[in-house]
Amino acid sequence: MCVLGVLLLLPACSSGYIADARLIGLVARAEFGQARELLHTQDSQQGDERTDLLYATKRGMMALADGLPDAADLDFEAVFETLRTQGLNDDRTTESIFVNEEGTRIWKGEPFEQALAYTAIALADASRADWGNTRAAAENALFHLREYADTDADDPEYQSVESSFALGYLLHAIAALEMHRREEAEESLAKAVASRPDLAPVRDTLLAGDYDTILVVDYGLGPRREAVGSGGVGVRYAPRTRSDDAPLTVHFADAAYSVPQACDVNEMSRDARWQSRESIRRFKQGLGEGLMIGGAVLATTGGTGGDDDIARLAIGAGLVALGAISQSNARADTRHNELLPQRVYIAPITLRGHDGPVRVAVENHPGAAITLHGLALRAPSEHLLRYVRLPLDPVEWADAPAILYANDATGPLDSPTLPWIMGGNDLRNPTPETALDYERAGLSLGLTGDTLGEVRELYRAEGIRLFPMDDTRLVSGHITEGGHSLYTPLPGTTGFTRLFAREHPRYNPTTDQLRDAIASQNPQDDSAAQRPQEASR
Amino acid sequence: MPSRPDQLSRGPAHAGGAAARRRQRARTIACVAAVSAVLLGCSGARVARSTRLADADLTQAVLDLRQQLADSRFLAERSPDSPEARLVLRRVENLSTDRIPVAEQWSLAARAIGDPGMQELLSSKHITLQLPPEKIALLERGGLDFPDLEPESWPTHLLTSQIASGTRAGSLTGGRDADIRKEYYLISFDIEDLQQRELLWQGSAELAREAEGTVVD
Repeated sequence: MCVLGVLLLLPACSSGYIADARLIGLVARAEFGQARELLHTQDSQQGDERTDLLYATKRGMMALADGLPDAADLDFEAVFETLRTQGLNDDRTTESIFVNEEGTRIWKGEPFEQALAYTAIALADASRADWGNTRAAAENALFHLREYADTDADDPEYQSVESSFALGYLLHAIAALEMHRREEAEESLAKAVASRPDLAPVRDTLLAGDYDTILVVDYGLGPRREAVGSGGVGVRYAPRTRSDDAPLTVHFADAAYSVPQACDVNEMSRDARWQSRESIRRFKQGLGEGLMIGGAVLATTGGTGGDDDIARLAIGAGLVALGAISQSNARADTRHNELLPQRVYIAPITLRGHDGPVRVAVENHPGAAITLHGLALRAPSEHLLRYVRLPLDPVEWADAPAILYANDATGPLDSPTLPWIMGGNDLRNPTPETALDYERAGLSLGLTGDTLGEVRELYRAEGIRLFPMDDTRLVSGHITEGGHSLYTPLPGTTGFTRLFAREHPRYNPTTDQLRDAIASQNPQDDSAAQRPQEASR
Repeated sequence: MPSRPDQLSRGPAHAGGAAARRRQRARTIACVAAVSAVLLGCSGARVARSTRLADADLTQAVLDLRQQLADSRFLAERSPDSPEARLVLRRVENLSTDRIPVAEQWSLAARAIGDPGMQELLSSKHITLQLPPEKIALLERGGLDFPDLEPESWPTHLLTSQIASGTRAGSLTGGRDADIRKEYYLISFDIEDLQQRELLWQGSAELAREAEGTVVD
């Protein structure tokens, strides 16, 4: 009886996917650099084909949010390849009857998660003005959906219907307009407005060509997937950021824009059209229940003394055990992409030469705001698309009004300054031009007369890798945030504001070479050149 | 008439032997079934799972297009004494549902005319090849080296290319979900005279890719 009791408790004990609270905390504070680093650590621990797509999607999304679409592309190419692979779990259906889904099936996400993964890929391509690939990725997000006649039925009737994904249609139209395919764009915009009628003003602005910049702004955290119901067979999505109708506002100079949401992920997760069915889990749960009840009845009826009774008890216990295992394995797969946003806005705006900061904010959501810098940097007549992910919590740097550090996008500061690792405010990749600025700021290493070579050597000695703006694929954490890469993310992104408009503590040299170089510049002030043991005293 | 050996096993007098044979037959059937199941599992032709363009597809298309250009009237009508044609390359325009990396978009066009034989042929027709300098660096980063490509400067001719695709989906089992998808790709190249705005050559290659399985799973 004790054994039976333990076995009956088994289904309640199976564990599910646990969303990463630390990662979510970093995203809430828009610390996407640290989030990227954390995900890379997790990836080396995982290395599991069943979750590869999930981690690759999250890594790509964080790199994109950090203004690094080229770095995102390393993961997004693998994500696109996997999402486009058909019948990925066909060979695992039988296996998943005996083992739980998380243990066997390759995670591909619910249809709405897949559509949003394609959207992230499209946004990375659009950030680089690669409109052909933007169009391709957006088109893949517009797959047909299942419309069910009665979602409560065990095997409900459904028909295949055209997608209602307004965000996907908008991105498809934006790419088509850039590729001079107006008819196609009109068709996509019509579908976007049919799905979300309040997007009509956005459609009109796009068709009129009355914009030079498009801001795609994410806010909030998408819903958490939870196992519910008897045996945890069913799933539900619990909102983490509540849905509402708050518009996005964009302010600069004396201009102001207000745009409605293009996508509410909570709404998608509740819509049966955006979810798959759980027929295998229901079958397993039914089978498990049947076996457990049958086993329990068999084991508890009749005597306990004779050989037949012992055999009956053993068979009954075996059936209960099988039922318990089957029921435990019927538990819903709760893996989900916890980094999805709750909502997405698309704001076509006209800067018309405005080269100052641009503030974006979600109305009535304190903390959901950021001031963007460098949006004016572009080729003449080029339309610029920038992806912006807003913080959830108020962060002091989000509204920083000015760039504090020289960088490869906005260039030098008003007066020349030393490299940041030497106590200055220059975070540019060293080039012959920056070397001249270092010299103007008083840098005189005096070893070989080759300032550029000597500064590069100091970076190399410190283990810092240098990345020019057109090759940021392999960047790790930024040196101002404890990482080992010096790079400039795309201007006009959250990552750009965080790195260059936020004040950072001074760099702590790790080599005598750099400490000596700093000391030789400031013989009166040795604070920057303190030895680690001195600093720790 | 002597009985056939198998008839000897029938009848109540041989009940024990019959049971053993039934067990033997059952074992044999089980073994055959198991072996068949394994064989069926192993012998099925490997089903294609993706309709994305494979590198081999592009290589074949490039070979076809190169041959079409070599046989073209545009080249036949030119000679070493023709006025110099400075042919500049543009990256392939992606109008397909596949995602084509930017480096590959450039390399596709470059591969079509970067072959040494093709470069020699073009050179013999007084045609020089040009590419924007930053794109030469991009190709070099991707491991593609074209020593005869010059930086873009006052081009007279333009080579453009396009990959378009059309999708067809259906159900192998007659169900409501699409579980078979076919992608038809058209890869086309154009050479245009920039001064005359005249299309001088057009080549194209077609290919199709088919895959089974539902896309959502």
